[in-house]
Amino acid sequence: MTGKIRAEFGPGGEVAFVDPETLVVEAAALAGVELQTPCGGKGKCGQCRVVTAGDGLTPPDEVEVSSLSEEDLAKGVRLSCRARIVGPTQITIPAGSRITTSTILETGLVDGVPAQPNVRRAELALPKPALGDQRADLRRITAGLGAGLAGCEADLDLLRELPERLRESDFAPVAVTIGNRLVDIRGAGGIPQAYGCAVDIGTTTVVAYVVELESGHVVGTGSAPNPQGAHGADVVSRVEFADQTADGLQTLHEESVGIVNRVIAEACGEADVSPRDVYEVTVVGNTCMAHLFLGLNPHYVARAPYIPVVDQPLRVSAAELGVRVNPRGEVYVLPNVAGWVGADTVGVVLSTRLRESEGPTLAIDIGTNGEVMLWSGERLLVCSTAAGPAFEGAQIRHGMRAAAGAIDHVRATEDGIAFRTIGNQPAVGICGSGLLDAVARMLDLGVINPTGLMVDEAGAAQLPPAIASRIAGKDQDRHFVLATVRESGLDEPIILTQRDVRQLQLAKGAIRAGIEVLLAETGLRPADLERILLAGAFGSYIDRVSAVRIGLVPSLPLAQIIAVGNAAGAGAVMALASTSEREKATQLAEAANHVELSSRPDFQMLFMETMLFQSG
Amino acid sequence: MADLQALAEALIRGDRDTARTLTQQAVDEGVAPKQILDEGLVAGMNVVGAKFKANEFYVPEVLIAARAMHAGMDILKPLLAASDVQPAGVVAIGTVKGDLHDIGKNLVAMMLEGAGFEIRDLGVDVAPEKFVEEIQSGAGVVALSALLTTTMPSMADVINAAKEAGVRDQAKVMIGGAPVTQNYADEIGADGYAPDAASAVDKARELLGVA
Ligand code: B12
Ligand code: FES
Repeated sequence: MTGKIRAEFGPGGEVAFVDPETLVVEAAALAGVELQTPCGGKGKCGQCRVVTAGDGLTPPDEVEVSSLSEEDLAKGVRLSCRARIVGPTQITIPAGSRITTSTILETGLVDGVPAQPNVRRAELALPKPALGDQRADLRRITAGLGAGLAGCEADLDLLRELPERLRESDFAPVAVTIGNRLVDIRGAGGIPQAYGCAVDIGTTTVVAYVVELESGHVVGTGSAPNPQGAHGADVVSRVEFADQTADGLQTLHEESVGIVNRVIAEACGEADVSPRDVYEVTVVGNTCMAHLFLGLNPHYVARAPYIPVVDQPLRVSAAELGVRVNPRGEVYVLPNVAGWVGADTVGVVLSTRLRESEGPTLAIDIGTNGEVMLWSGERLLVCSTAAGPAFEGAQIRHGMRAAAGAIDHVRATEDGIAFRTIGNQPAVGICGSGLLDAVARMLDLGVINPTGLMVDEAGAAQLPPAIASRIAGKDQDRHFVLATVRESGLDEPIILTQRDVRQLQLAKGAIRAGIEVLLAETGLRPADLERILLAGAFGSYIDRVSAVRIGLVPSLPLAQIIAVGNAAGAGAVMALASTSEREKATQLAEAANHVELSSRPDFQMLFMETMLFQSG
Repeated sequence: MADLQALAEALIRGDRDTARTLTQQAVDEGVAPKQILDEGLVAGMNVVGAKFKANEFYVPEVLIAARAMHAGMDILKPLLAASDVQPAGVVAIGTVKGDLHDIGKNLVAMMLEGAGFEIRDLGVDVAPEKFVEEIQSGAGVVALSALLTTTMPSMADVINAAKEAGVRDQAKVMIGGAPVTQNYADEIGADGYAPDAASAVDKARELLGVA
């Protein structure tokens, strides 16, 4: 092995042999350890920390020196997105920096949609050819398929095989059509079922559902982190990567198709279905994710005035895209509403039946870009609120995704607080739902006031000792200890700083301001809402009491605040199972009124108010 | 006797009505506009800036304080102009091309105004040529804001446009916004960077060599 350097990663002991000057994050990936890099390696988020001893790495660069504390640097803490390997080295990866398989929500609500798929499987019993019946093979088949498919077409490569396949089946073949295209013909029993896949390409996570098309049932799911995350946690960083890296767009496109293939394979594996029997794939995702999947350049989406290449639904050959299902299969990408209101939002509106709600109903999909949808009873309004990734743990001192060891729930006890972690592991960080809870409890306890300020020394002295003893530090770094060193799986306590509270204020303020703008547009007041639907994984895990307490959502009786799961993915499933649902999605995308917040003069004032902690 | 300290305090509290009343009262009693500005409004905004820097105040409190400041400023502005008081400097500020985020930029503008600078706010999505025009018409500092990593390069475009127009050395270029760093400022050859609105005031003073 010439010139390769050995890098070992703890605590698991994974090893990689790398070229000199390889970035630690890349070396870790080679060793099979995925590190989170939310800011895409700008040294801004500090989430990609690793610890090393010895001199196997390049000395800390300016970015590391400015973003890590002296104390950390002395301990050998480094940013894996900046440090490069120059000699044999041992690197310890703190649990908080690892991407572990997140607890991802698996299904939403798709009940009661009668199956009416675009893909049809038919068992035929055709009359055999004779001098009195000289119809061509294809005509014979289409006649057997029934009236609706009289004009059925077939690809040349299938036609070439058609005569033999037909005769091998003794004129009793199984045929599969997509729309009015004949795409497969095999002997009896050759295609026991026709399947489809619905895919939700999230900025953070990609999920696939295998659907048995005849019944419309989901029979398997697969999910994985979006590998584009290595180029930055948010959408704009991906666009920037596409803009500034040679072959950047191609890389992102390949990563997207690659991960879609992986989750489809996983979902098929779970259901014991061969990907060859998957004939159609429906796709939802935000507009940028959908563009990258299709290999379309999202350059103009990221800049004002945010123009996508297409907004109508797209039908593409699976083979042309490189999607590994039946080679004659098709991919159907749902329509988007605007550059920042994507097909995923259309999926939420479709599956939650938002526009059929009786009274005013609000739906929110909280991710890095919070999308807000309001049905006023007469109009459907949507907007995108750019909350930022605080709810996914980025920009938060001990923030992390919802993975093992994350504090996901914090409650008050008689004399203090208690927390729960995912998987009951020792606490290694705090995820979005935990952050929400922690801040809500701190407000209840008086640790922070309604402006978001943490109490000073004098104020702390007024609090019960069990609480006061958890408050320390100064200015930006003033903090509240959630897990003491003893309760923590790291060698430091898990804390929530003043800065973290400020980041949460920005994120929740942006979402709530978006809600208020839509309400104002329709002349409704928060109290007029009949229901609030919380879509997405985050919406399903958050404590609704905390969400109301911090003012993330308007205050309604809890029974009227409903978590609806992965409603975007559910929309993709519905569009797969039924062509009339698919048409409805297109109508919804066209009917939705997009409210562009960037041009609203009232946004600043609303944002200012919603950043404060007043529930109501 | 008008109580300028009370004016400063009203501003810190964000009490717009009191700020307006006290400013008017001071003017009516014949206190020099410059003194009202310095000992009332600027003094108040200084405290607001310090609290903001320490994270004690956050965006809402600063915006509310700035609103109170504007109530006083509206009264003082014509008087200051008439009495020929020189501003601490002229700053042309805007959010760069392709970017529509303006809350951070507004905060910076307010703090600079509260520190006695004359502000020319060019708004959002501002083309490089606009900034160049401002330099040509006498702005001593050009302050650029960007909140999107994709629009940061527009800051370099402004610097290049100024060079091409031959006016680069007539003004200082100061940049900021959440994704911007000192490193980036160095990389594109900006004269200064500040991480927040309060530090932006210090930086502007430093760049112009005013106390
Ligand atoms: C509010 C907000 C909006 C509002 C903007 C309203 C407005 N009139 O400005 C709305 C909802 C309209 C919006 C829209 C979009 N946003 Co936006 N938005 C935010 C949010 C939540 C807060 C930004 C903010 O106002 N902060 C408060 C201010 C006070 O802080 P600041 O701007 O950093 O300013 C301080 C300092 O930086 C400094 N400073 C600022 N300017 C200057 C200038 C100088 C010269 C100096 C010295 C200092 C300085 O001083 C200020 C005060 O201390 C952030 C996410 C977050 N949690 O931070 C996203 C965020 C900035 N938006 C983002 C995006 C992508 C968008 C959109 C493009 C898409 C979308 N819908 O999601 C659109 C399009 C708008 C556009 N292109 O301009 C992303 C950017 C990601 C990236 N990698 O660049 C963010 C980070 C969210 C995210 N991660 O997804 N957004
Ligand atoms: S600091 Fe390394 S990815 Fe953000």
